[in-house]
Amino acid sequence: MFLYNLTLQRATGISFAIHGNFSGTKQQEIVVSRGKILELLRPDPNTGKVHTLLTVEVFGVIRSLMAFRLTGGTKDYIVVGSDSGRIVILEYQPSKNMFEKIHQETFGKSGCRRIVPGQFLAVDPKGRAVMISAIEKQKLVYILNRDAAARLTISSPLEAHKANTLVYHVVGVDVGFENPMFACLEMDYEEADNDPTGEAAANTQQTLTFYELDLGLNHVVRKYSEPLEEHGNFLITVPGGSDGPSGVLICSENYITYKNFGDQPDIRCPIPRRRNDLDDPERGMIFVCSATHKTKSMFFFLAQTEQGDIFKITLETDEDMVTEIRLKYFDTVPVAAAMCVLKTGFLFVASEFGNHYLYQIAHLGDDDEEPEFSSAMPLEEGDTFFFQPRPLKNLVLVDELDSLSPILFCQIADLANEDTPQLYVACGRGPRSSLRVLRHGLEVSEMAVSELPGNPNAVWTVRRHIEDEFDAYIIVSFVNATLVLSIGETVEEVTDSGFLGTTPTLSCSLLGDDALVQVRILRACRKKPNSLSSVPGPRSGQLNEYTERKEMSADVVCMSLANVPPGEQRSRFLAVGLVDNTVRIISLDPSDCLQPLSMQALPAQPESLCIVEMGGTEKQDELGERGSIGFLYLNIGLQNGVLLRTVLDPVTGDLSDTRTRYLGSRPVKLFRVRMQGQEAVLAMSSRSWLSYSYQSRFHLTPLSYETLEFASGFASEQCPEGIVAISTNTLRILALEKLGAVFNQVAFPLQYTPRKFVIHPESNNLIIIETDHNAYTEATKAQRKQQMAEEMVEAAGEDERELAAEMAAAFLNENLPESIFGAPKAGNGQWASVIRVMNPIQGNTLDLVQLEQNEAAFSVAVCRFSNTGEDWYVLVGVAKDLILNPRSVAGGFVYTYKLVNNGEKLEFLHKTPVEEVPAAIAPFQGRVLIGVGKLLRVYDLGKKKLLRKCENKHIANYISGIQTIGHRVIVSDVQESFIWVRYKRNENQLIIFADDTYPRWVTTASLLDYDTVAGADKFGNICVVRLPPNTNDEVDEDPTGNKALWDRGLLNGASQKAEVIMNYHVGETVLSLQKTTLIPGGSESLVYTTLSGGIGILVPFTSHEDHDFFQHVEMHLRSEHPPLCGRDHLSFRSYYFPVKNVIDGDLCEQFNSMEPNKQKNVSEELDRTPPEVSKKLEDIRTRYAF
Amino acid sequence: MSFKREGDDWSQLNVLKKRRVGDLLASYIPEDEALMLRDGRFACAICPHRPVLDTLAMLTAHRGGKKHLSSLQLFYGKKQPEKGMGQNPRPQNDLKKEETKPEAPLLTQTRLITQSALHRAPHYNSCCRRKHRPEAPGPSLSCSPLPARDIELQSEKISREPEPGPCPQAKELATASDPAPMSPTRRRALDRYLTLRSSGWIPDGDGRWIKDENVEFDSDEEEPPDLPLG
Repeated sequence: MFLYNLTLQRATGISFAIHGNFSGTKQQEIVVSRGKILELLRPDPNTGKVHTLLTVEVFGVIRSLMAFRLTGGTKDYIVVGSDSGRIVILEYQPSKNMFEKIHQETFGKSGCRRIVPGQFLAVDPKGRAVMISAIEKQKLVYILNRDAAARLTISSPLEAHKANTLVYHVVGVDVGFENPMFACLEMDYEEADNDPTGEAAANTQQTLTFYELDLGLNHVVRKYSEPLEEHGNFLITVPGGSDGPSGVLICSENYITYKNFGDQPDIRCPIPRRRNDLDDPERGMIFVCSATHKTKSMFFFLAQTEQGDIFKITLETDEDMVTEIRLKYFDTVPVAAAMCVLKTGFLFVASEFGNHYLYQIAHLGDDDEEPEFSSAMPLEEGDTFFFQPRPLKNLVLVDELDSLSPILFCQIADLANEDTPQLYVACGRGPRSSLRVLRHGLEVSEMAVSELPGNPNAVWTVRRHIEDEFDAYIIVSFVNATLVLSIGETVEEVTDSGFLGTTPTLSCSLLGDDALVQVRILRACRKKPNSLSSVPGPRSGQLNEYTERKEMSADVVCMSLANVPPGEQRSRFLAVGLVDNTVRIISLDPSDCLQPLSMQALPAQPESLCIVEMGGTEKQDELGERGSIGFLYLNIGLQNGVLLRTVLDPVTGDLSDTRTRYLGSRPVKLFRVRMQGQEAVLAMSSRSWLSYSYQSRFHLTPLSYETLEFASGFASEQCPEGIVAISTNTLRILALEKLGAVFNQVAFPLQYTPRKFVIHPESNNLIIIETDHNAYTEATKAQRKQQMAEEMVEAAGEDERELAAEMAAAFLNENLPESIFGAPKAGNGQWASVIRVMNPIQGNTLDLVQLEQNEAAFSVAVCRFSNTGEDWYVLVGVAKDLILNPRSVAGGFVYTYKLVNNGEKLEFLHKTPVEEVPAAIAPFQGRVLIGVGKLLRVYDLGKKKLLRKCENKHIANYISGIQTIGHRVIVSDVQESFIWVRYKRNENQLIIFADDTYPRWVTTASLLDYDTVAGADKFGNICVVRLPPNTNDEVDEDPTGNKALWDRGLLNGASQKAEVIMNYHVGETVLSLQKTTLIPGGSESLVYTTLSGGIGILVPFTSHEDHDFFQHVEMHLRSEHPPLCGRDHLSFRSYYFPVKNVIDGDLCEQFNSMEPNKQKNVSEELDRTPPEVSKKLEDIRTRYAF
Repeated sequence: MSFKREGDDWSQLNVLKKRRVGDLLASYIPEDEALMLRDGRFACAICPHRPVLDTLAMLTAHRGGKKHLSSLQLFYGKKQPEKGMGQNPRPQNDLKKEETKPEAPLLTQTRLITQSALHRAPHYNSCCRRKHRPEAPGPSLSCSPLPARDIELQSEKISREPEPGPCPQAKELATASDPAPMSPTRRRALDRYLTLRSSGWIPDGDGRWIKDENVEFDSDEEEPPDLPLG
């Protein structure tokens, strides 16, 4: 078995975000890392929409990311610390739309190791040096400079190692133009390590250490080290030099402290807490991320606590001495992994979990009633300030980037009867979790829908002048009339446009510079439309008819003209579709006007033609004029619903490299539209599709929208790149904003983190279990609130009673949405769970069962029992009082519910106590198999509880999943891979007969056939293991029965071992695997979803030739196009197990983003042309997915 | 990189040689004369006390022993009348080869030698093929002690075997799908036996069913449930 890995949707969770001017212009851009992906985002300052410019997979783990700019420079570079053992400096090339590796310096082994640098990066704020540090011991400093040609240079590394030292965070201190300085949060464990009494360990203190890079002596010195009172978690650089007082802010538990050299005393301010918080008051509060905003005149910091509250931090100075730290509550947004304040006044929040947000900073919070807390205010030690969280006041949400991260579970099924299966994805964490339904297609945002008096035939938009940016009129043609709408602030009907409204319009457009032409029927004539004449488009405003005529061999059905290339008078080609199933390209050059250039035969009669220029990258010429140089493509829509796309040679007019795709049952109509500054084609059949080029890859994506009949591009001030379309008797203005997205999603909110769900096969309802650690149930929350309100009243003095009662009432009524403000943290070992029955189509909750506090649901199954007939039962495995570390559990229960009311309600039947966590349940031969800790048991339904019928105690650690097929049971152990068990009915025994040889920490598994199972582990590997054909599953237990004591050990694995068929490192933890078909009529593939929100598939090769071809593509790309961060591709894919029998399609598809000459080289090696290679790449993708 | 043996470690080479010999020997042990256990060890199916042996070599040594040889006589003395003429201690394929008497004995011999030399693993697969043997289960069904009695109680049709001695085929009875068509009554009886057995009831040998103490039952469940026989 050979498989090909394809990513359908890249990871969406963000681990780091930095901002700067990466393209070198004034535009503010954001670079985010999504684990193994580097992405460049550009928020449009006018619309507030975030556009993705470039996404690159680096085949390595990005561990740190920093932007830096050389002194006096205008362009930011990106420094990447990864697991490659190398420091890499990247530059964004806007002309080629790619990251270019400028420097790559090797310093250590690859992999995420303790003492190999890469975990922390710090740059000197003046852009003179960069420090890269490991978690322990090693730190390297590189000096950055420029050479005579103003190119960036990097020095050899300077060492700043110190053994036995752990590092928590590193920042560059802003010291102006003095010697660069770095501040580190460190801990020296040498003494603690050598002291067996443990006394030293208890007294070990964290230190703040400054390292100075002496530029004169060219070495690094450990300048100064100071023990800290509180344990810090991160540092913030304070602007220095001419901009501020310099120094650092140390964020630690409950406090933020300012420190600097010299006479500067430490300034310390407690972190404010929410008033009347349900959280444990003993729990410390820390800042989790921060962003700095600096202008010429002022600076401030935004720091976010782990509850999501953002504080604006300012420093009061007196002659370069900081006298006061001031904190002011700013707003509350979801907890972020990184925040960026852009110079354009936006705040980008890369959420830790769930969607990311772009906010506009509407107010700086300077002049409002919000109290300001200061370090100068006298407070007792251990006391803090309190504030009241409130809805957004200073920030305005402008854009939201969908993120599925974390995906905890996914099932693919066609529950909505749409013939293409939907992906039901349980994602998110805590109160921000949701069930999302993903469908293949582009999301369409409806800008306007208006009803028309009749059913129109066609719609066009026209500009008033050729130089105009926006369209002026929408012309709608009916059977016997024409409606003209003018586009302004609103769209309204006009009669003075000059168009004749009483007849239908055949076509209309702008002619010349500022003339509008309406084509209408004057007199019906029965002339055969099989001759062509040519009209040159003069700039003079005169219309001259060319005298040449061209008789075609058959009737003309459709025509298309290419756009006039920049700097030319006319377009070179005319494409003509004829009734004899051909398309001809005809020259429009005045020298050989109307000469046929080429012809293509078609499988059916053409319906519509469209020549577009696509696939070019945005270019900027010397005059600063933007234009794109791409390829010309002729799109041919056929009457049988097929779309052909052919490359049109811009010189000879030859047609080559035809790609075919079936779009729908109706004839395909084509319309040229503009998408993100490039031309695109809207193809309409029974479904509408958009063919566009995005990040140097062609996309042909269906629109998730109803059937449209006619469309035209639309540009107005509010909607610069829209579409106006008609559907029955409505006129719709649509916008397609999420280009590049494969799925459109509908989200239904959930209460806690969803763990698993099952589908009831009769009603298609979902039964979801949601469980959160460190959370209160609704009942406990209400109880705690009540208790706090009572305490409030009690604590008040006699005269304040009334006021206190009022406050208590207000507190009880206060209801801040937990999805923004977060749920209260209940403490370690506190669990809350619900069981939900949900309709997957409407997303409404049909039934909800709240479990008691500290009951955590971990497994669910829906099944029938052979002794009860047709009734369906839902079994939920629940752990009681589970503490994760050090692990302890008070026991568990299996709740049994009967599904009643057509699968809509859960009727509680009974509750079966068990000794350990029931983490896996699977129906098995009319009974159930339950994994209770490490015990595998068969249970039958009893009257008062489930009855244990059979047991196997020989599973190694903890059963995390159970799959069954026939008499075979495949148990996944949390640490010991798969164990094959056979149930013997006549002896009522479960006997282990085979297992795997590798220690895999299995997260999920899926059966591929009777002998084969695919599994994924928590380190991000996917494997397929198979029992060898001579496996004997009828092994007997030792018949003597007197097994020796030494024979019962855990190391005594099964005698038969599974073989590894395939190994592959995905790079993200895979939590669901399913064998399914994704497109109707497609072949089966193995679909996986990852914790970071990615969705991918593994597809089998059907022919040896294909496999051979892709193996060579992969091989050439590994050498010709090595990964960006310096990690070797082969070693990345073999991170834990050597990669076996899988070809990486993500790497192969990077062929399309290689430079043309390299593409040519690689394809020559393969005995093909570049278009042929990219066609092969596209084919294998569309055969299995999208 | 190659995996060629390096050095002149003779003891290791001898160990390997010995193992190879053991593997080759394994092909001469008939499949129903030993059982492969879950942990990879072997039990001799000939000797009534079922000795468990760690390796094939030990099993081979055991098979050369006096005790085993006397059991062997007893075993086949008992087995032959059951199975008739077809039974032979040799494995099935060997038997066939001997019977057909090939025309080129030298060729056959070399082929056999090459085959056994090319075996990568011990060519031994104890029991999984037993059920496919056409002549095996039919008559031996009745020699199974417990189900037979149960069936008898239900239908009173099958005469009891005079001596219900240990018989390896008994275990196969339930799971192996019998190639010979089963009468509906017997199938039902078998079904009932399996259902009761898998829900934790154990026949006590007197035709009654007792509860397995490791299995849970409903509190009011004193008797095994009557399954519909019709």
